Amino acid sequence: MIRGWILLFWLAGCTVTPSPAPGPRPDEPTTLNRASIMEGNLAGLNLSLTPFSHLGGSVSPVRAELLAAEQRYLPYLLKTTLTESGFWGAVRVTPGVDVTAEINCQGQLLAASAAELQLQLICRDALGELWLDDRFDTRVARDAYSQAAFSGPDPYRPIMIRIANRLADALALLTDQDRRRLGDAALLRYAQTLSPEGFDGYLAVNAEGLMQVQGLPASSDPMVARVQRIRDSEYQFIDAMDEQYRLIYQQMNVPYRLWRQYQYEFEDYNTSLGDRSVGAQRRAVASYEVMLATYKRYQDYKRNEDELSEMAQSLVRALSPTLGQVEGQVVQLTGNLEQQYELWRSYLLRLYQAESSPRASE
Amino acid sequence: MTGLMLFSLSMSLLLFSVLPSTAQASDAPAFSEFLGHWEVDFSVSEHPNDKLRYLYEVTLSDHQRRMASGQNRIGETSFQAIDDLRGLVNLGRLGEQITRTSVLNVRMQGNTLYVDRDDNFSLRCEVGGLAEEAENLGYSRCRMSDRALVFWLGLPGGFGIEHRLILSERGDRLSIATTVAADGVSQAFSVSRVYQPFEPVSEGIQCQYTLGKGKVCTLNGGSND
Repeated sequence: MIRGWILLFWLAGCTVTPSPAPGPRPDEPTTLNRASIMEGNLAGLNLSLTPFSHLGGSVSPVRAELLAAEQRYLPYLLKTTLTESGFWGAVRVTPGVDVTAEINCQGQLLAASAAELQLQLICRDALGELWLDDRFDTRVARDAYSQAAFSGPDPYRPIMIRIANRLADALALLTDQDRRRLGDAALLRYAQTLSPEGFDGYLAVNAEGLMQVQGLPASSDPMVARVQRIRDSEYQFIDAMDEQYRLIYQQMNVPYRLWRQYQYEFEDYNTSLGDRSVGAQRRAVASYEVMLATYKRYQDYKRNEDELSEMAQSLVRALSPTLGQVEGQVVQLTGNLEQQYELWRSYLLRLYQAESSPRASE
Repeated sequence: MTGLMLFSLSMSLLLFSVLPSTAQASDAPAFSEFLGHWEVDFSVSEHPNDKLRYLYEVTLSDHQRRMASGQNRIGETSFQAIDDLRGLVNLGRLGEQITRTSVLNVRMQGNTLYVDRDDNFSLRCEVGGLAEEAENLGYSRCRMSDRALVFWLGLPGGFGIEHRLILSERGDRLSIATTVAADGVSQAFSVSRVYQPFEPVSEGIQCQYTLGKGKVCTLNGGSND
């Protein structure tokens, strides 16, 4: 009879504490492919990234705030990796799709936690050709958050290296002529956003929905010179926006890494608590040091969360006004990054139209 | 998660047993009434060490009296009484650590009320949102209870912390009663601090970003670029 009870308790114990399923193993170390000197001398294509969107769904308000910060931090982390690879011209993070860039990439965060990152990335060139549409997953090793690794690369860097290598592989398939054609297409596409009728006919959409360069305006065409001048102003502004994203990235670097480190530790801690008996937990409370250490850990975690949350809130608040000078005129832009970018684009469009009007040429 | 659930349950019973069960009384102040900058008024605030000394002496004499008169609780021994006192001292020491806040900024951002503390993390409460939130470490909850805005935090290891914010009738004083309780300790430790409103001084610095020069800031109309 007693044996029967023992067996019953043993079986009950088995059902309450199932053995944890083994999680995916951390990524193997990945090496970033870097451009050789010869490749670096080629005319680089510009690549722009927009802040990542996220999958949506139900998240806590605190997590939603942090997501807003992560959506800007992660593309900048990718940008630094792409820049380091040396295959590209200017790599920028811009508030919206960058119409000046030869390649645009948009990402979606599928899952982001201390232990893993999953994202979907889509990259297209100025002709609409798809370069990449893939899902990237990474599992972060515990020691990536250790003190020794703190001054090293971001724990999410391996996934960025894999993306950078994939894009470099795609770039390697292009001939010099392809690159020039993309450069032309990017300029024509930009020109069309300023003057659809002025540059109509140079780009056509084929049966697959891809654009094709049908011809080029004469290099001495004053309209082209004007577009290039306006585009230079746009570059100047995009660089200023990119600088803002750099600041966000730098400010977030330490608190974001600490926050993830604590998250990782807490997951382990909670698991180990689940394994402990209630008696063991009660004994732990007798120690002031244990309680204080637990509280301090939680305090540090929440403080980093506060810092990240404050950054995320500042991203949607109005920034200090930006003053730009175009063609001798001073422009003041207000609002957040996205609003300032929209204002700037509408200003450049008005400027181009004013210059192109018959009265301007008199 | 089993451990978390167990301590959450036991701490909820311990702390929330002293709270009224009604979610919100009709004359409860709105969140907006708590907003503003607050600084501690030492003259009317309790000092954790004094409070601890007092509680220690009362509890000790109570134990001694019961042991001497043979009225000790069933199964209680001198050793358990000493453990209990030690637990109380530990709670008091922790209480002293977490009630050092001297300046508060209570603000609303969207649907969230933030209590920013100068020496500690911010307490948050969602208006009309989730009242309870399971976190990586522990479990937090906030709610209006009578006239009090109550934040409760349960931490691993079987202890919990409650901050009870109560606004005076005239709205010119804010009291924060902090209670620390733990499994295995017969009584909780509470300390109350009172805050008064103040107006922070404006920094008077205005900045703008220029594409040519980068960030340019001016102080009181003067330029320092």
